[in-house]
Amino acid sequence: MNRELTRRLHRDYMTVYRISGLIAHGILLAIIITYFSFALFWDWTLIPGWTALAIAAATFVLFTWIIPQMKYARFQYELFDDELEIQSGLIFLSNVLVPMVRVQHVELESGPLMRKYDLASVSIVTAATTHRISGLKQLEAQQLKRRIGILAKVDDQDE
Amino acid sequence: MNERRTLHPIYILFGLLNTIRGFLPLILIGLLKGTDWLGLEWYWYAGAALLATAILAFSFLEWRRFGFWLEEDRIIIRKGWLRRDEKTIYYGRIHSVNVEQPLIQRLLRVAQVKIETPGGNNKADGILPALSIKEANDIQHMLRRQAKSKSEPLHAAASDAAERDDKTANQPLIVKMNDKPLTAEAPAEQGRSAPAFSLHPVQLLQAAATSMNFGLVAAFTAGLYSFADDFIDLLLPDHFFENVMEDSASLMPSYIFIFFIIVIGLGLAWLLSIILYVLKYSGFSVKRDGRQISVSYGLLEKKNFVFDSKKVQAVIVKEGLLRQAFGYAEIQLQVVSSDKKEQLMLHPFLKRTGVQRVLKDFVPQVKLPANADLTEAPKRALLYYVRIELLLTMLTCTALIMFFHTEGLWSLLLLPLVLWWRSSCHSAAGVRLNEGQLTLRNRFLSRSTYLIRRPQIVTMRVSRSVGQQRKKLLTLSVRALGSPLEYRVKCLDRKDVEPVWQWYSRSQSKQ
Repeated sequence: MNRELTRRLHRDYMTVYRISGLIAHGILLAIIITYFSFALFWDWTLIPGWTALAIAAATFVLFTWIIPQMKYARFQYELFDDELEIQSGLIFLSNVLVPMVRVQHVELESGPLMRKYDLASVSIVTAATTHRISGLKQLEAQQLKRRIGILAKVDDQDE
Repeated sequence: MNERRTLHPIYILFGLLNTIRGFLPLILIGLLKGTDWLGLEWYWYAGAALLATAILAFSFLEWRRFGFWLEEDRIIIRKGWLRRDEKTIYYGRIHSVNVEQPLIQRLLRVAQVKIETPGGNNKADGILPALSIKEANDIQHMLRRQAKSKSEPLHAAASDAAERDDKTANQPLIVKMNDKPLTAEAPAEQGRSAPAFSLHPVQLLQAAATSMNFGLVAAFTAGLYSFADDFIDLLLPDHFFENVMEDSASLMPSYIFIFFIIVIGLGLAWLLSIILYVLKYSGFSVKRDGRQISVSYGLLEKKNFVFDSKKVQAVIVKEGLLRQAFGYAEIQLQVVSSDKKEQLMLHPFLKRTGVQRVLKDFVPQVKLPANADLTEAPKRALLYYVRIELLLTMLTCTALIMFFHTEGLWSLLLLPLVLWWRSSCHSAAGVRLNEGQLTLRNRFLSRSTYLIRRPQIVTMRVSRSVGQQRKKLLTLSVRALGSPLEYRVKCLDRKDVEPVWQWYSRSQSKQ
């Protein structure tokens, strides 16, 4: 936690995050509009619609503007020879230390949206935990995966 | 060694009994409503008989297909009739072998063997659901012996006796002791020196009375409710509870009534918790055989765990509020297990001063430091321990006062209570690093001290908010196998956490 962590996510990750936020809120908006049209047609109360709209507006600002920026700004990682250190967080900043001897396997994933921006996410799996580095360029992710694969070695738990 | 073994034939009845258990609520309703069992239409009997035969036939096939082989270095389990399934477990990968007797098995006088390996999900990796008790114990011993010799390559190589003697002569005494159960005659003389204890009935009662195991009570009540829910509506007259409530409420002012309900509820919960605790832990006994620890307990459902003391991931010493006042504690072990809900008990009730002796006997790799040796959280951390809980209490109080006016003022008593609770959590927080062992202490309700060695820590995490960063406070959490949760201590001084971080960090501790 004291040393400098040099690696970051790619800036495109923010864009992807925003787009997925936009899509989710688009769906939400569609639902709200449906409610409004039904409510006007059948003469229901409009209060739930307005509250939903207010909440949606607030989360829209959060998820498309503030959160992606904060996530990007706060996410740092660095792969050392013996361990991986990841710093992440929104309100609470947390540093996690994953020793290479505890890594069981590495997974590479990317959804359709991430593929469009040539991004991927790397999951580092230990016996008890999974750590995700989501939003690296495909090439970088591949390199990270391969490097961890080389560094991860098995040792016996007995001292 | 590698002939095909089968389950106890009584396994065929399991399917039937499980189905009957499912129908139990219906049968009970029938009994209580006084249904005339003999006067039913013929097709009811025919249907029941057909169903029973079908289940029996299916179970028979399942039993026929179930076989397991104990090979040189692994156990192979083959099962399934419609869907075949084959499982291979290497002895060296086994963390613990448990012999259990859930209710059905207990009634039929058989036992099930569970083989636990890391990385399994909610079910244990290998389950042999029905074996005669003797067979189950034999297999348990055999597996444990194999697991041990396979996990130590030195011994694995030694197949003939002469070679083994040569090698063990150079080993420290404790390893030599381990080898004894490999020969059939040895166990008798072994029992003599091996540490062992069992719980006295009085101790058990004391433990039960001080446990306040509300989790157990909640689980039991929920289970009972879901079971009773099916037919309670059918039996009781309509609006039974509502009427009872109204009748009693009209006799007393509401707040006294609520108070009484709470007191009675707590009393009942306490009683229930005592009964459940006694049922669960009666006959508690632990013994060590070389490096193998065996824990067994249970009255209705018997359980017996056998595991290698080296495979213990962490030790938790827990002191409930009541117990701490009297200087008592319990010891739990974190081992790899498919039961994610609770940790394995090593000792349910002992003097805190006696903890170190028990640890030395059973898990010598960890030590319990004196409470004063732990570095506590600094004074400035108190704010972060108190603020959210206090805020929530204040909100509750405001709401109560708004609804009940003057009577709601009583809720203000909660404030000092919460303050006291949170500040005791603050003073319980502590950390210590000594001889390759990390000791963490925290409190939610009961104070627990967590003892773990470096190789067992899977990941370590520190976290802080911006404000805490400025005040140099850090929350430290570690994670080990055998528990889905991290163990964390909130807001410690940065200068106390840094050495721990350096110690765990492989690249930093080398420099």
